[in-house]
Amino acid sequence: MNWTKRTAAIVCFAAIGVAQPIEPALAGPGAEFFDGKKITYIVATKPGGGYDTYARLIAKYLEKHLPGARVIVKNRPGAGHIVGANQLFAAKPDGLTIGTFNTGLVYAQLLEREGIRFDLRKMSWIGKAAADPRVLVVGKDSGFATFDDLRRAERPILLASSGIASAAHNETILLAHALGLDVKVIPGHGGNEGEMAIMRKEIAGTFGSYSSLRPFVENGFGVVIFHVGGGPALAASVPAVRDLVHDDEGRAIAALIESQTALGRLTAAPPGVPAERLAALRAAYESALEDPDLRRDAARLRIPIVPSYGEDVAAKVDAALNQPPAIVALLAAVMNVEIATISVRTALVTVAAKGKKITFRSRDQIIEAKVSGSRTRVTIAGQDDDRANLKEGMVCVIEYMPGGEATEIDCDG
Amino acid sequence: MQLDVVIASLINLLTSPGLLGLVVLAVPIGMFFGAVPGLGGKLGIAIMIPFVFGMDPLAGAVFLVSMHAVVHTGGSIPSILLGIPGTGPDAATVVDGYPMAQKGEAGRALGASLGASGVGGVIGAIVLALLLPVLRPVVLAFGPAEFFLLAILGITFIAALSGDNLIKGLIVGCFGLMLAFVGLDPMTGIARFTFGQLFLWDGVDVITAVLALYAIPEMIALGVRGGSVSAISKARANYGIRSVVEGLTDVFRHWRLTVRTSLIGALIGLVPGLGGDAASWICYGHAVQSSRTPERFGKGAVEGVIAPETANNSKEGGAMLPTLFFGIPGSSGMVLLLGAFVMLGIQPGPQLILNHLDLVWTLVWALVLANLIAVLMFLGIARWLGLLAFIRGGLLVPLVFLLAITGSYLGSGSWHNLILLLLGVLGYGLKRFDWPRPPFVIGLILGEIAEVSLHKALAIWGPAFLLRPQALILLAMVGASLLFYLLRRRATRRRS
Amino acid sequence: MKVGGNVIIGAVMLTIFAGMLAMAAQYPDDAGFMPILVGLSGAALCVVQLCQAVAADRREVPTGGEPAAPVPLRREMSLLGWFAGFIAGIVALGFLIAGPALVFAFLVIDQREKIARAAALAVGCLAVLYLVFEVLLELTLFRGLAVPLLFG
Repeated sequence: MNWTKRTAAIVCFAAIGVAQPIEPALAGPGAEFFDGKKITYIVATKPGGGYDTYARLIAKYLEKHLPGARVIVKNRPGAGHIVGANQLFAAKPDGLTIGTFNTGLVYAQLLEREGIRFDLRKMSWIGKAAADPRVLVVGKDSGFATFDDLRRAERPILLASSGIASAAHNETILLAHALGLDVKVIPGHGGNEGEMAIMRKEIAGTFGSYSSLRPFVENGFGVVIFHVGGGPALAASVPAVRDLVHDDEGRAIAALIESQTALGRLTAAPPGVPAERLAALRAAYESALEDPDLRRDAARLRIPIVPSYGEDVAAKVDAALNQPPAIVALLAAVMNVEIATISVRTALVTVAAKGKKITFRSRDQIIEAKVSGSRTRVTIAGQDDDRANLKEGMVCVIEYMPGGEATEIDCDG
Repeated sequence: MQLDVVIASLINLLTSPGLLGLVVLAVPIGMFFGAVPGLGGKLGIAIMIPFVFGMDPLAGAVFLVSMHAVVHTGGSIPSILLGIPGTGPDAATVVDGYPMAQKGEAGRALGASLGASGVGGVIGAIVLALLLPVLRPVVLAFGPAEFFLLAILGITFIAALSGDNLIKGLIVGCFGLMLAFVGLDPMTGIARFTFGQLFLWDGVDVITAVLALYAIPEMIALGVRGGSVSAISKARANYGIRSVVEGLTDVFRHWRLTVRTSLIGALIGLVPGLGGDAASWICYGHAVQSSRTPERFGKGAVEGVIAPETANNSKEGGAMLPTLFFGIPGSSGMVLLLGAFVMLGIQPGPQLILNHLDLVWTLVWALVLANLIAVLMFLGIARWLGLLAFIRGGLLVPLVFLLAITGSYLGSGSWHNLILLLLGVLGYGLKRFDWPRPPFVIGLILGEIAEVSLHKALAIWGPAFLLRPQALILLAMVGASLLFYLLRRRATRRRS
Repeated sequence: MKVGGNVIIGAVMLTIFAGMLAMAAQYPDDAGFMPILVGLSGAALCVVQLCQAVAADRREVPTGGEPAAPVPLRREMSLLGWFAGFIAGIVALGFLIAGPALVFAFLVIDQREKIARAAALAVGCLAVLYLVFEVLLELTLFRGLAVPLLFG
């Protein structure tokens, strides 16, 4: 070794040696609590999958940056991440339990699916580790090569999804609606079965995570038509969905899915963790993900790290959960899910077409609802009445289906 | 096929002490995981992943493949000796293997299972090697229409396996199918038969069901009967090395069956989507159908051990093909293996043939080697294992209860499944009154594939899917199989 | 007894199919299709089987007696009871406590095993459960529902 290399080596070792003692100081007051304690990291999947890999990697470096703590990964699979998320939400909020699960649970919460016992708004968010851009891929022999081809399709385009309850399925339907495409989604294609179906030419394409579809594309079997949230990784010629939508609803849908792609590999703690300890967890998480050793390990594992921390994540989750009722209704229709009607006491803003359509304010939005002559029960000042007698400005209790029609209107008179 | 690469990778494997050492280490671990119910292959691989993580990709892959290849070889041990299947596919070995142990032929059964596993694994590896060039068209020929019909074909075997009790067998088969529908239906998003319980959203756990239907009833029967597993005393029974060798030679004596079931198993593993779990049962059914004396089955026919055991191992070789070349797992164990490969930095896909043919061949040889080493190791301990059949039943019963409950918990990961074990009461009833149980397992395993494939096929082609050429061929096979069975029954009826 | 058993099992199966059919009838078309198809087939077959079994029952009675030795019902019930007890015990107290305890109990009560031997085997179970699963494989065995209540 010549002297320059030797010097470099010495400098490196020195730097590492100097760097070590700094870390505990960075940890802050809450971190002392974790000394000698065991943190359980719940993973909502079976061992060996993507979430598991990220969790184990992060666990290793969390231990490094929370001196004295041990982080144990526990797998709690079941019901598409719902079991793990439920358990995380119900765990004691002492800071000793954290967990990771699929961002797609946002859809489950939006639709108030049965079996859900968590509220993502209330989780103590620690951070997220990756971005998960999605793409629409079609087979190279499918007859489609660009978005315009899809627009001009004469028959419904067949797309594969893993299951009706999956996030990808929801997103496919939402996007088809937003982009005005005639699409028929065929569920039941778990894992990479969708790709096999494309190769057999039964299906034209599939919408999903770019990281899992990338080998398919790079092997020459498929072509990317558009992406959501995947700017840097793809060729400039591939359009983003954001540029393809043409109305407000479309933009809202694109924004929702983009926010989903941004929040990959979330980590959270149950609601109510003491502020100091949560801060310590967040700080340790941040140090872990910024640690060059972790980055190096991640590169070797071929898992990308695109982190975001604490409040940032909380804000994004909140935004995702605030969806206009029309979109919730669309999702519900797809999933055979019954959503609850909403009841609100407010003034009628407009009444049109002899009472057939009304608008009013609900949850900070102007809602338009249809009033049916036969199905909607209209009462004014306690008496059954006709919709034609509804007037602007009347204060009523209105019960309605999001995005649909009113079931009951009870006005003061 | 470049012969030089083939030979070179073999020599590389044999002369590298590191790699050889890993294979030798992986074999007993794999067999252990197969032998303990619930740990079976998948969980085992999952546990090993952290250990393998830091290794050189080739070494790590060799280790995992070797470990996975011999899981079912290990799984046959409790199946034969105690009637407890280590994994779902191993249950097929129980049907004839356990009765053999009861007749005092435990050693012979173990030997047959051993030999069959070894031969099956080797043939599976050969199939893997030979089909490399024609892989794509073969795999792509099977779509949902064909899967549906293949599942139906498998279900028609229910008739064959029911022996004389056709109606009872069909009823039990329908029950298995109904339980297969429990869970969150991917086609409609409806949670079916779940009674609001989240743990049932993923369906009835196969390991729990199989343990409930086989392990528990056998132990209760043993407890009731008294005595030991083997009804014949040690003095008169055959359990020494000689009987093990006799079992080994049985495999070669029935070489036609052995080769056929190995090939069927490999082909089933090759086609992703059918789920290799069904392979052992389908081959068992084939053995029954192709035998001149089918009434011996279920009572200790050695062919009933050979057929499923060859299939269990050969399907792994077949399943590696779509796993490596399409990144699409060919069996449930391959799902995890795939994840492990990616973690090790091995990117599955056609470029594997182009750029890393040596890796592929090394894995093929590792498969072969692991199976052979398993045979040798097993031979060493077989005669002592056989003694288990002569231990007093009363001692075994509580231990097996505990083992089965542990296995169900480990395999499913949820304590709620333990309630499902109460199915064991029904299982005992079935055994007690001569209702056949294999149709249940077939129904449970194939039910989901049948339904999802049917809906997919209808969604893509409508009812016309039955008119596709491959579908017509399979329809003909289903018809032939049924016809064959009915004719056979009439012949035996006439004889008796 | 054997024949009576066929009727019992047949009836049990029929009940199960009927119950599942009732549930399946409430599911939307696609979801209910296969379950109803299979359920109806199963139920129909059960009816046929029950008829056969009852007919066979009637035929047996005149000839009377049984060829094989009668299986003791009480013993069967006892073992089934132990099995249910094992499950209940482990669900309540977890593998590490209930497992060895129940093994010990069974050996002593049912098998009239010597206390020392039974204890040795039970301890052996505990050792294997703990060392192999918890320590070596780092898998947590279920701790039992009642344990947090009892031990906080």
